[in-house]
Amino acid sequence: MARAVFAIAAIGLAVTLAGAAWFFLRPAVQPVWTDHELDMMESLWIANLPPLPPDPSNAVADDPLAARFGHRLFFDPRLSGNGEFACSSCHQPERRFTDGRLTGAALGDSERNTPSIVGTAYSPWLYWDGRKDSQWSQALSPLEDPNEQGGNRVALARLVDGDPEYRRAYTELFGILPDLSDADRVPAAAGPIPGTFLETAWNAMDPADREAITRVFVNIGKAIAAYERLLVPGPSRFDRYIEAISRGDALQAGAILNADEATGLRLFMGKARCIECHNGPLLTNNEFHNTGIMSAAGKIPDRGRIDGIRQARDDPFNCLTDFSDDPLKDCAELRFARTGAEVVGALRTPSLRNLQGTAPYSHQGQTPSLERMMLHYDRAPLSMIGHNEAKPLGLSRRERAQLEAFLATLDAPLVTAPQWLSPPAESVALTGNPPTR
Amino acid sequence: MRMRLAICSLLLCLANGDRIAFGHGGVVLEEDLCIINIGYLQAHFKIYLPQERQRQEFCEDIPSTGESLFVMEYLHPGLDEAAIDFRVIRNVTGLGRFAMWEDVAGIADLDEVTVFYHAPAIVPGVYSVIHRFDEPGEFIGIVTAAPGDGGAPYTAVFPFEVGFTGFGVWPLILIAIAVLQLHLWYSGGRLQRPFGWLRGRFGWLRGRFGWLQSRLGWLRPHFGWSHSRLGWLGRWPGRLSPRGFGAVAVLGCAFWFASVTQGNQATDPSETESRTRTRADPSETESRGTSRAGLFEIVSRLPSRAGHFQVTVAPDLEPLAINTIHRWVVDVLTAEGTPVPSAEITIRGGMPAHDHGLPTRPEATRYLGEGRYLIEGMRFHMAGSWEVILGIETDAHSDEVAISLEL
Repeated sequence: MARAVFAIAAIGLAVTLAGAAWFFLRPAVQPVWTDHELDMMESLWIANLPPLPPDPSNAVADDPLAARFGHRLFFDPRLSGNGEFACSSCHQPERRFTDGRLTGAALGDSERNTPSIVGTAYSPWLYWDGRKDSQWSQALSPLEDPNEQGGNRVALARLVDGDPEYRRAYTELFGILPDLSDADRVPAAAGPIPGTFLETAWNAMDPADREAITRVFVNIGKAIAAYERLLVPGPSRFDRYIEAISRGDALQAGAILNADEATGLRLFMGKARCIECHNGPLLTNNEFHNTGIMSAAGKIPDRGRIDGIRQARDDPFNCLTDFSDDPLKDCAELRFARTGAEVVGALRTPSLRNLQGTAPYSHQGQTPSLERMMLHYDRAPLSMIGHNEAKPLGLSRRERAQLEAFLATLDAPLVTAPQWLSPPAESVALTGNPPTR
Repeated sequence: MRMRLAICSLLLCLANGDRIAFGHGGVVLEEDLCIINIGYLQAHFKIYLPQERQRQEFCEDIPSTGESLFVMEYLHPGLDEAAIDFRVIRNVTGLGRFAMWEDVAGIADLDEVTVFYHAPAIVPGVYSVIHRFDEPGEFIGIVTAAPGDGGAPYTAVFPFEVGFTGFGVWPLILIAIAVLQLHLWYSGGRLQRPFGWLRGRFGWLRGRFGWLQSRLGWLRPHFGWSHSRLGWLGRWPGRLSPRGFGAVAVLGCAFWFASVTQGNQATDPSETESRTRTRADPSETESRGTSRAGLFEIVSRLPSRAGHFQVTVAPDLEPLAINTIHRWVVDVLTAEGTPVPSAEITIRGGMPAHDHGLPTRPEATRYLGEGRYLIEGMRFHMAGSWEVILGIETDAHSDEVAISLEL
């Protein structure tokens, strides 16, 4: 009798252990995709990325000379107040145009994490809070921000004027530079930077001179944007997988993504609901969402879009101003942008392509790893301000790891030609070169 | 046993009572929601200790020092345009949590007792400030809002404690236990001598309250406690009748209800969230035109809810796709099929399953003639089921039409 009881107990224990082992250790299997899932996968495929959308607000957006000029400017530390910081100091090509820091730091400290520039030509809004509505107007902000490059527009105009190559490229693209030789009319340094001597000097200038110099400043931004437009992500392992699947070659597909990565993709489109915001070939809808990320220590929760849209509307360089080259000034995104309770604490969805090497994540770098990010979205805690749109997901540890594995498959070199991804060779003349793309 | 359960539940409810907080000054609890009243301007008020208590919400008293985040989510749109300033002073009024605006106004040098001040600022949507309390103590928060129309400013004053939030109702529980135990000893005959002495002295009181005794006489058999040396918890409820048990249970439930409804911290935060959120609510529509996106006309001659109009919608984006801003041409006909000029068209909508509205604020910008209207600023930012509701208003009728889209 006792022996029978013992035997039954032992068998029960063994079955339980085996069940548990199976549950936790069973190998993932390659998913068989439904038609709906295949549709969703195709929508994420980089082959479905439309050609670069035109930027009517920037007349030189697709001019090869402007791109080469912008390339030089992007890597030129002389654009900063102390001559040490270029755009590329924080947007480092080797780090996918981010800086690996919690929040940006140049002359001072920035409030937010440095976002990547790659693929921003496709976004109607720039910055985490969308306070800029074009690449060129975005490029102007750091130039005069005392915490970033800390330059000023008069000094920048003088830099272009004084460098023979820049001067030639500028003249060819935008026409003649204003006359900066009269030091009584145009000081060495001035710009509307609130609360500084530069502002005093700026206000003392003749309005016509200010207008002319602001035009030069804007054109510098437009050249930089012409370069930045070229930074576009390339096909990744994930894209090759979709390609194989759409050919019906499941065998090859299975060799491209392993079962865990493919299961992660299924979770991404299904249970984990990532695809709701991270949609389209760039895996972002470029919209603003409150996802309840907690602010960094000592910081009030980021107000996000509710302030961003106000700043965009008041921006002297927005789509509706005379600095935009678009004669139609349609500006539908700006004119019909929403505000209100739904955008309190809402921040722009970042692209998920090329996340590797861009840690830490989130708008203040609060999320050190993708593992922590998966945990955050799994829990979907309440927001301190506004309303967290995300809902708890109920993912297992294993599922979170599979999601993370899938995200790694989105890593790929840019399609952009390599010469654009390093500082330009000084020896090559700017003008008179055949365009290379 | 039942009785013991009832008592335990009662005690548990009381223990929960440290949530029972009664609003002081400008901050009050209204149905689970911590509200600050700045004159007639209301806001949802909450305090966080992000480092120590992560996302836990507090209404006014905060349990420890350190980084404290004060948040006001506006419930009145007037606050969006109001200049708000926020001040925290040490509570030197000597009135503790009963200090009011008059008492604060009487402080000669406000700056001297100020520990935190945030100058007036207009901040739409939500106001938040952060302050690090280094010392526990009693403080007073003063929020002033100057309405955008230039009217006189309103002020809310709320005393609160940092680091020590009192004993809650624990003293009451201890008193209740002591009274019960005394009663047991007394009825067990242990306190005959002291009570005999008391009875001699105050026996005349008995005569005065004889009427009360006779009135409550019926309760006696239901609470016939047994006399024992084992202590009240063991034997006291020995002969409790169902009626007596019912009375205790009702009392327990009443306490539980009170502690839940008066909770200091919002007990159901999701409910709190939904109250403070405004969203387009695309619900309860009878006439739905379901269409598979991709056709140039997404709906054709769709009757409106009350049947006053028929609507045809043609987007200038074919096929309809996400993340692209585009326009719609809306053709409005009467039920009889004649074009409707000079109607006022409004657009709202969202994803009913996701609780959110449209990512843009589209408008009817132009009348194109023959009952056709141009709507600009349409964009969808997620795949899935969308609902767009067009409001149509003419001098004669006001009606709406719901268009369901699957993207």
